[in-house]
Parts: sequence; C-alpha cells; structure tokens
Amino acid sequence: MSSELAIKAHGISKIYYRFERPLDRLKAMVFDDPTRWGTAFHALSEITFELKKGSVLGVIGHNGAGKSTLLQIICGTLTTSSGSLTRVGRVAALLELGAGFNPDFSGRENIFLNAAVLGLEQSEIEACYDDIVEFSGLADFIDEPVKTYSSGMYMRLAFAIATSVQPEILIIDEALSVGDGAFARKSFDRIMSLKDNGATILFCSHSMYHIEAICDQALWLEKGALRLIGPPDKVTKAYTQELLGGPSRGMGEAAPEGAAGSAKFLDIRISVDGEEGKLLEITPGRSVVRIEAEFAYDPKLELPTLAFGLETPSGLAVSSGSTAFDGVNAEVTGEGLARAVLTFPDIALMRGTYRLTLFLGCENSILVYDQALYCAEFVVQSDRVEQGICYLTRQWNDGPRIEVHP
Amino acid sequence: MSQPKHQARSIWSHRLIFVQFLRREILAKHRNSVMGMAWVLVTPLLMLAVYTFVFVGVFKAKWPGMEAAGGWSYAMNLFAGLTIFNFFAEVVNRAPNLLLEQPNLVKKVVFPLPLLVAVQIATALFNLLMSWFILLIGVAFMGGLHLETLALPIALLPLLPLLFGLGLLLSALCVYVRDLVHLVSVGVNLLLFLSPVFYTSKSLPENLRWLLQVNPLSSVIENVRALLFNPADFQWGAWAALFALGIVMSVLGHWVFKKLQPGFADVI
Repeated sequence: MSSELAIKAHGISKIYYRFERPLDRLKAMVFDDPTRWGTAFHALSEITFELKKGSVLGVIGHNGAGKSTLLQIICGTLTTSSGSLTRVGRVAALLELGAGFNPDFSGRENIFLNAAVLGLEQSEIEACYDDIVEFSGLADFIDEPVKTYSSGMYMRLAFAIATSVQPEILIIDEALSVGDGAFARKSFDRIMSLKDNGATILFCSHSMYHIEAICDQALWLEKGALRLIGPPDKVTKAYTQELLGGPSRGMGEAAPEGAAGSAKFLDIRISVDGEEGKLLEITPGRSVVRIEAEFAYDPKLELPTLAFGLETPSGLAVSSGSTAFDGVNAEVTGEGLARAVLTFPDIALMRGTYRLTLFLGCENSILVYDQALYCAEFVVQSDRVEQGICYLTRQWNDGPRIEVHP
Repeated sequence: MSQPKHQARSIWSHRLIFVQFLRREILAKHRNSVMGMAWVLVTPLLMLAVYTFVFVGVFKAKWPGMEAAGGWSYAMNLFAGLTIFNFFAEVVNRAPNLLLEQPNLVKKVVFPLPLLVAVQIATALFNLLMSWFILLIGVAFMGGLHLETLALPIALLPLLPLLFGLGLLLSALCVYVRDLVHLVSVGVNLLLFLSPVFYTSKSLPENLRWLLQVNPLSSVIENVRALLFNPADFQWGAWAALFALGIVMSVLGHWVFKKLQPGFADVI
C-alpha cells in the first residue's frame, strides 16, 4: 500500500442475516455457515475505492443506501463480511449522538475514556484536555454525569473530543448537523483546519451544497452498491438528476415498480418566462416561474400532496407551501397518475441565488414519499442596492402601494 | 507506526481504561449514599451478623472438628466459605449482562471488550479483600492467626483464570441466547448449597463427595479454611488441578469470545 493512501477499500461487502430465532444466529456463528439458518440481506456489496491522505470524501445516497454502514465499517465498529480494508492512522468518528459515552460518567471522565479508547496516552489526554473543555464550552458542567446533558451538549463534547485528539482520519455522519449557529460555524472552521493539517475526512450528507463546497471526491451509494465515484460536482449532478426521476421514466408509462404504498415523481419541468432549464435567471416582479410536476402513486392511497421549499445556498429556508395547506388538489390524469402546475406570477425575491426542492407527501403533507432535491436553481439579478431575501409590499405616508419592483 | 509499538501503546491505553472503569465501579456505587465508602465494610459485616444469628443463634450449629471453639468457629468457617462463594457469584451473575448493558461500547466505538470482564473480577476482588479484612479480625479474635494465612491470595489464584474464561464465555453467549441470564442466576443459587459453605466436605456422606469434587469452588473454600485454621490441610493437588482447569477455561472462553465478537454489533 502506498504511503500516500489513507484508506484502501477493496471489494468490501456487508451482509446481514436475518434469523427467526436467536439460537439460529448462534449456530450460524459457531458453524460459520449463516446461509443454512438465515436469510441474507446485502447492506453493502463490493465497494472498492482509495482515498489519499488529506483528502475529503463525501458520501451521498438515499436513506438506507448503506452510507452509515460504510462509515461504521471504515471506523471499525462493524466488521466486513468480505473484502479487505486498510486504514492508516488514528480514526476518530462522530457517528451518532453520544455514541461511546458512558451516561453515568461525568464529562471529565468521558473525555479521558473516549480519548483512551482512541489510543491516547494519559499525558496526551492531559495536554488536550483544556482545549476540549474550552471548545465544547462545557466548563461549568464538566463534572456532571453526561446523562444530564442536553443533546446539544452531548454533540459539542463528542465533537470537541473527536477533533482535538489529532485524528488522521475523521469520520462524520450527518447527525452532526445539529447545534446552534455559532457552534456550527466553529465546528466547520475546526474541520477545515484539520483538513489543512492533512487529516483525511469522510462524511455523509444530504446537502449537495456541502458536498460540493468541501469535498475533493464524492461517492454515491445506491442500494448498498457503489453507483459513482469522482469529482463532487459530477457526482452530485448525476445524483440530483436521478432524484428528478431520470430521463427514462417519462409520462405515459405505467406507475414504476415499488410504488406500492408510496408515490414518485415521474417528470418535473421548470421554466421561467417560457424558458426551461435547471439554472434559471429571474427578474424580480416580472418573471413568471412555472413548475409542472407529474407523479405516480399507489392508487390505494389518497391523492398525495405536492409541496415546495425554497432555500438559499447556505440552507436558510426562504419559503415553502403545499397543496394540502393551500386547500387544492393535484389533477388526476389516470390510474395512479397525477400532475400539478405551480406558478409564481411575480416572484418577489431579492438579488441572490435560491434553490428549489419539490416534495411529494401524504395527504396531510407529513410523510414524504419522494423529493426532488434542488431540482432548480434560480439566480436573481438586480441593479437595486437593497439587501435581503424578499421584497415586501409597502406604503409610504399612507400613499400608493409599492409592489415588487425590479 | 510499527506493529510492536502500536501494541505497547494499546496495552498502555487499555490500562488507563481499566483503571477508569474500576474506579467507577467501586466509587460510583456508593457516591450518593449517606455512608459512602463505609458500605464496603458494612455490607459484609451485616452479612456475617445475619448468618451468625441464623446458624449459631437459632440452629446452634457447631463446626465439626472445632466444637470446642463454640459457635464463633462455625461463624468464621461459614464466613470464610461465603467470601469465596460471593466473589464467584458476583462475577458470574454479572457476566451475562455485561455486554448487553453496554450497547454503546459494543456498537459505537472500537473497545477492548474483554476488559469489561477483567473489571468485574477486579471489582469483586476489591469486595473480597474487604470481607477478608473482617474475616481476619474475626479469626484473630478467635484464637490467633497462622503465618500461613498470609498465603490466602495464593489459595484464590487458580479461581481467577477460571472466572475470566467463564466471564468471557457467558458474556459472549448471552448476546445470542438471552435465556442463559436466567439459567445462570438459578445455577448460582443452587451452587451455594452444593458448595461446602454451610458445611465441610468431611461431613458429607461418602456417596455424595463427588458433588464437591466436580465443583471448582470446594477446593478453594477448603484451602482457604486450611490456611486460616489448619495449614497442614492445604491441598496442593486440588490447587494445581483447578489452576489447570482455569487455564483451559480462559483459553476456551477467549476463543469463543473472539469467534462470536464479530457478530455482537449486529445483534445488540
């Protein structure tokens, strides 16, 4: 293995076996023949990739695609069923909130315990102890048992430990994106400085923006298999296209397989002033944004609702709405097929970039069946100097109403 | 990092974890109680008082061969046996739940799990030493201590590898077969009466002696009593046999544990 590599995974697979009785599992372990007593489930199959020292890998994929399984295998808490994995250096992982903490131990004891598990010596732990306490901001609570901590405090402590022990490989699950703004900022800076110091970082996220902004490489998992690995912009683009339903599934086809008890987008077309695309320019107050969505659903279900969300690249929600809350229905076009058209006649956004996500939800707009993440990006150009996100209709001196204005 | 250096490092850090857990087990149990650490001495004292009351006060029991010394000799002989039994029971009763109680350590971090068994043994050992402290005062009060009594730890020694192996075996098996939890607690209760705690092996009818011979606790208990009251009775043969059994058990336990460990995270 080249000294340049931090992680080398060759054909790693993880197979879970389901057993009817726990005793069957024991028999399978002892006789090393799980297929005889259990049924197999492939959580990961034949994943092969290499990661250079100091690079950042983003893992994307649907829920249940095997992202967490892959990260757990790399950090060593799960074993592979087959294949080989080589890692170089100390691995620190933030997989789940409070994982690896002993709830009855105090914060101080957990710092020592966690760091010792990560392979630090007493003197090394003492050297970074103050830094951990300071970064976590928990100095006043450090002698309390961590079971009395809030989830935010748990997360801050876990993050402080994992990043203070000088890990050579840092693994972060998305569960980490909690925490208030100030701490989120601090964590981000901390991760970037680890990256600058040559740490290899792996993380999974649903935010395509983060993946593109931070990663050198992106890995797309689908149903446990590696779908695509490469430059982040290429992978996220392919993934986003897939989320839209893919070119192969057009209108007029029967409802796709697997739609039982669910619903799926078939086609989404977004246009501004008649021009269709994914990256669209908007003139505030003038442009008409038109979104046409076609979807298939299990006819046994009630008609799903369509919802939209608009956000800034930093993830700030600008606006949202759904047919359920507006009291309208999608138009049924066939057995298990429906369409809805959403128009914004004079979109009152101020200068900036905005991302649109569409959701298909249950009749109450609670359960999400399908989503088209960032299916379009709107760029609003304007010569005006005012700052903000949206225009508000207003009157001065009880005068005429000033509507959205370019 | 070279392999030997890496291993030395991990042994060192395991020692750190071991001390942390041990301190926790011992201190935390009493942290919020009014009497605090005094309980480690009060508990065995109360136990001694209760057993003495029942067997000596109510049953008027006398220890065979030591009738002249009266009820006190029975109390001390019983207590000597009880300390060993409790030491054994404390570890074996906890072992089945050891991994089940620590899903975080099993699933979320790479943790040296056999260490948990070692911590349990060390905790029980601490309690045993407290009991022995009381026992020695009692025996001294009864008629003086033999110099050989200092060798008590040697009498205990063969039990340690046996417990380690048994602890590994039970904790690993119980991840898959939870029924063992109940089976073990019944078995341990039964063992109290099948061990020479309330009686001496000599007082058992000839045709039942085999029961004690297959029980690993009997030789330890009898050897402890020998060191306390009659050093000439110490049985090196039984001691060595138990030691050999202990080594076999710890190798077996370790083998089963390593064999089953890869599946822990999938089950717990």
